[in-house]
This record gives sequence, structure tokens and C-alpha cells, in this order.
Amino acid sequence: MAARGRCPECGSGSLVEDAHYAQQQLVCAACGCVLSEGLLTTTYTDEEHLREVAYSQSTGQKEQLSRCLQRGIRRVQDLCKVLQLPAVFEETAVSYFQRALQLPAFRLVSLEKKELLGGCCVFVTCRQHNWPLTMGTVCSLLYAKQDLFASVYLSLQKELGLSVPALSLADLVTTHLNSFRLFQPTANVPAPFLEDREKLLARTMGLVELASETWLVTGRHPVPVVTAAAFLAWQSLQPGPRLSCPLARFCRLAGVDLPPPAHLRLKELLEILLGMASQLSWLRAFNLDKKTVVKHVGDLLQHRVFLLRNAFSQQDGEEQQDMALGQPSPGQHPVGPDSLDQNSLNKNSLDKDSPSQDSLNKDSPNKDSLDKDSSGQDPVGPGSLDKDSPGQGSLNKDSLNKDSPNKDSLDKDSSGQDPVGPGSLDKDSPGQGSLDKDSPNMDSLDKDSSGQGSPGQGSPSSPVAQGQGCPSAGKGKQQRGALRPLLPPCLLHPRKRLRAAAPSAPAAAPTGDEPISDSEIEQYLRGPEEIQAFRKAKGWL
Amino acid sequence: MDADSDVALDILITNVVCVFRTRCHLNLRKIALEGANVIYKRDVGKVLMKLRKPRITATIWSSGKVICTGATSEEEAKFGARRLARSLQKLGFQVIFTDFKVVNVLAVCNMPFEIRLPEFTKNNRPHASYEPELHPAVCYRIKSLRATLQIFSTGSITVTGPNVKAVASAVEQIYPFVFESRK
Repeated sequence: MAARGRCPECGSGSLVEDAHYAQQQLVCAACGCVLSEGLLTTTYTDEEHLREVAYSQSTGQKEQLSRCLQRGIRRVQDLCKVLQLPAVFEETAVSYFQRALQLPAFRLVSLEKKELLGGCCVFVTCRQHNWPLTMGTVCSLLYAKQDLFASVYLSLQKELGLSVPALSLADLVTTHLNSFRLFQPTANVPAPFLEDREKLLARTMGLVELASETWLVTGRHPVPVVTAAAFLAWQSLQPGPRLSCPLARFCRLAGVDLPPPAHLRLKELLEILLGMASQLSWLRAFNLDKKTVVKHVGDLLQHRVFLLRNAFSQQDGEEQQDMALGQPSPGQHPVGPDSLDQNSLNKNSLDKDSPSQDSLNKDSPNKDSLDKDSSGQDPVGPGSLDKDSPGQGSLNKDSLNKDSPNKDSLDKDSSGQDPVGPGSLDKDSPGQGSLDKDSPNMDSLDKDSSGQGSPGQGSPSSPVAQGQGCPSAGKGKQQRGALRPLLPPCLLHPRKRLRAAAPSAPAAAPTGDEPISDSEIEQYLRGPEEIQAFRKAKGWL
Repeated sequence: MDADSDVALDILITNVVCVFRTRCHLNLRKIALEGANVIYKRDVGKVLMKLRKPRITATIWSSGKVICTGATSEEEAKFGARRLARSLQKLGFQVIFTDFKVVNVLAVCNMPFEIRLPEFTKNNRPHASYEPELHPAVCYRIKSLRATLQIFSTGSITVTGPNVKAVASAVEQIYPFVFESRK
């Protein structure tokens, strides 16, 4: 263009051809002088129906973009602005949107879905750039239902073949905390409730990491976890005034929504913390409960790795694996508890299996009594048969006789014979037997096992034992709680009964081609009288 | 223990869905009137009929197509379907039992270990997708088998596939991958 000549006015060579709507013009870029103009229209005769220049060209609007696309692009751009995303994100999101709309999968879909498509593009872009944006946020901005959004999102991912990295929890913690209104003094937040952002962030991050190490995050919605962790962190930073503030109030003050599962996450986190606290030597003297343990969160987090290793049996998974491979329903961890027992026993220097330890057997009554529980067959204490390993059983009997009323009980080891997995947990926790009343420490142990092991299974059969175990349970946990395996909570507290191994195969497995007799069929058909009666009944209705 | 060692995993089949045709039109009203254990859904134009042995539920359409669900093996599904066809025959329809096929099988399988889902997903893109905001499980698709697996952190795996064989081989295929990401 510049080669075409120079501007007569200023002598500059930068001449630009510019389309002023439909009219071509040659303009000097330096001074703005218009050197020549094209005709606005051609002659009337050339121009049939006055359509020489298409309307879209004359207005400068790109009308070839469908209205839907334009609207969508604007939507995407607005959304990016609302979320204050960098410009790059906007471009990527728009290009995703354009690509998606060309796909047949998004041609004939409802307008609602097309609007969501824009949101999905923004969401995907953010995720790909590790920008912590949750679906909940996008949905609330678009007034969309989450399930519809999810379906659009999944199909977009499939159609465009996008790979979307996982949401980074750490980033999410940062952004989620930033939305809390607890950092600046405002009218409705009491002074003791104000917190320093950095401190809260660091502690929350620690708690969230702890949660993810202890299976509290996997498969869960991240926001409730973060909320619960933030609440705990906030309480722990200044326990005095804040301990009495419930989670709901905290969320109201902070100006964030309280996602319903946050209460559950909080409970699970506290359980983990309690477990850890039981291993911290200077806390052993105290009877910690869910309230008081909060004060020590700082200490607990500091020694996280060590405490986790001590408080929960980490290898349990491995051992269990080895043992349970052949077993149909590993969910119950039939083996895990056993390994636990061993540990705790060793600690106490009780060697269950070695007969030479007779002198120690004082403690061992616990086991026996427990067994009873686990086997679930003997509701009555004294008469009960406890199964232990045969050799041991006899030893125990003898040695026990003096301190424990258990004497009569025969111990059989439950692990070998009891089909009930969880029951074996109880083994190490002595408290359950009704017999154990006299031995206080046993009781305390119990708690643990009864609480975490198999809520459903041991209890029904031994109401007496349960009754006794429970009251002492709280204390027992911290004293020298039997190690519980570090597992997803749903495995520790199974809500539904796990499937029986495999329904025992019916005597004759059907081949699908057996003959079918008429008599079998008749049970599925109504007899003539029945039909009559049915008709009559229908008439009345 | 390593992934190749011989491991017996129990795959529990919880549902088998099959379809067949009767090659004749069915008068749903008549079935509703004369069959026992039936529910007539007039608004949808179908009849549900339940058999006790094998325990299946059949959806009967007036076009003569029947869908049976609830069986726990392919054989049982076929047996149930034949029984149902026989019942229809008894009701006076000219039923010919044709085009029987198993269309979907649902099974569950428990791994003897827990699974680290984020790690598993990262290693198995793009087949695996994990959105904790939507669903607690990782969804893993095996295109060649047309099987979909839902992998939970607890080690339970739910598999759906077009037939029992595909389901079994899907579990076989996935095992080394989940084993890598075990706890």
C-alpha cells in the first residue's frame, strides 16, 4: 500500500486502504487525509434490486455469525469479565465456544444448554490454566442447575476431546478463603472473630492437606472440605472466644454459603484429630474431646506425619491386601483389625500368641471377653464361650482365674473361625464383655473398637456388652486406642450392609434352555373367576 | 505382591438386561386383565410384569418387543425371557420367541485395596474422568469393549458392559491400572 504513493498533504508514505462501511477509501495514516474514495454505489442500472452492497457489509456487522453464536460469545466474554479472568482465558474460551457450536452434538439442543455451553467453555479454560473455579460458582452465575451443567460439561469434554486437569485443592483453598469476610473489621463481625488472612490460610491449608492424606477428600465435593477446614483453623487460632461459635454462624459471619456436607466433613476431621491427639505425649494426660482438641490443632499439624503414622496403621492396607485377595468382600477388612491387634498388644507387651507370657495374662482376659462379642453368639457373659487359639485359651483360663470372673470361658480365637470380619476388631479391645466390669482399662479400650469397628454387627447380639462399652468409650479412645486403619470413612462406617460374598450358587445353574412346564406358567396368569372378580372390582372403582 | 500375580477377583453380576421380540402385536389391555403381577402404564403404553422365578421384571410393549431386567446371569435372563414368552403365549398371542439378546450387564467388583483417584485419573487420561464435584467415582471408559467402569476410592468398581464377557475382561484390563494407584 505504501508503495502506491505519498500523501500530497504531509508527504508521508503510509497510505492505507480503508473500508468505510461499503466505501473503499485511500487514507493517509499519518494525517488522516482522504486521498480517494471509491463510489458508494455503482450506477443504478448495475445495481439490481439495490442489493449491490449486502446489508451486512454496509453496517460493518458480521452477520454471518449466527445470532446464537454472537449471543454466546458475548455471554462468554461477560462471564470472563465478571470472573476477572485474564484476556488469554477469554480468547481461549471464545474459541472453544465457536468450535463447540459447529459440532453436530450441539446443533439441535435447547437454548438453555447452549447458554450453559458458554459457561462450560469458561470453566474448562479455567481448569486448564489451573485457575480455581468451581462448577458451583459457574452454575450460580448462570442460574443453572448443576446436573444440566454437568451433562453439558461432560459432553463438551468428550466432543472437543479436551483434557481437563484436576482442580487444584490448594488454589481452591486460597480463593475460597479470600471470599470470607473475616479479615477486615466490619459491622457484623465481632472483634475476637477477626483473623489474619495469612495465618488462617496457612492453617487451613495444613488441615486440608491432612484431610487429603486421611481419605477425607477423595471422591468428595471439595468446597465443604475446605469450609470445614477453614472453620477448624479459625477456631484453633483463637479458641477462647470462638469455640462456642457453631459452623453455621461462622459461615454466616464470613458471608459464605454453608454446604450441607460440611458438618460431616467437620466431624470426620475432628475424629482424625482426636486420633492424632491420642499419640501426642503431652496431651495424653488430658481427656480430649471434640471441643478441646481444637486448641491443639497447631501442635497436631506440626507433627502431622509422625502422629499419623502412629495413630493409624498405615500398612494395614497392604496386609489386608495380601490376606484378603481371595476374599470376596474386602470392604470389611477382615484382616486389618488383626494386624492392629498385634500392634497394640505388643505395645502392652502382651504377647497373645506366646504361651510363655502367662504371667501377663492379667490383661489378656480382655481379649477373651471381646471375642465373645465379636462372635456375637453369646449374649450372656459368664457362660460364654470365648474362642481364642486353642493353646492360648487354656492358658488364659488358668492365669486369668484369679482376677477375672472369666474363668469359665473357653477362648477360641475368633479370627480363625469367625466369619464376621469386623468382629475381629473387637478382639483387642477388651471392654465389651460383660465380664470385664472389674477391669477398667479394658473398658476403655473397648470403646475404640466398638465405635469404629463394625457398628452394626457386634452390637445386636450382645446388648449387655454394648451398654457397658459405650459409656467408657470416650475416654478409652485417647488412652491407648487400638490403632484403627486409615481408610475412607465409608469403609469404617458402612452405611449399608456389604454384599454377601456371592449368593451361593443355586443347586442347578440355569442354562437358559430348560423346558418350561405349563403349571409354572399358570401362577402368572389369572384364572377365569379371578378375571371376572377383577372386572367387577374395576367397575366399582 | 505384584499386579501379575494370579488374583481371584469376584465379579458379582447384579443385573442383566435383555430384549426379545414376539413377532406379534400384543394387546396390553388383555395382558393387564388376565396376567398376574402386572402393572399397566397406560400413559406410556407399556405393561410391567414380574416373574418370581427367575426374579425378573419385564416391560412389554404393544409392538411385541419385551425388555427383561433383573436377572443375575445371561442364562437366567434367557430362561426368564422364555418363561415370559410362554406366559404371553398362554394368554392367546401368537408368540414366537425371536431376536433374543443381552443388551446390558451391570456388575460390581471389590478390589482388596483402596485407590488413589486423583493419581489414577492423572495416569489414565483421557479414558478416565474424575469430577469430585459431580460424582465420587472415576468414570473410565473402555471403547473397545464398550464398557464403562465407575471406580471408587474404596476399591469398589461398578462395571457396565454389553455382555458378561466384556464386563469380565474390562475388570481384567483395569486391574493393573488401579493396582498402580492403590493406597
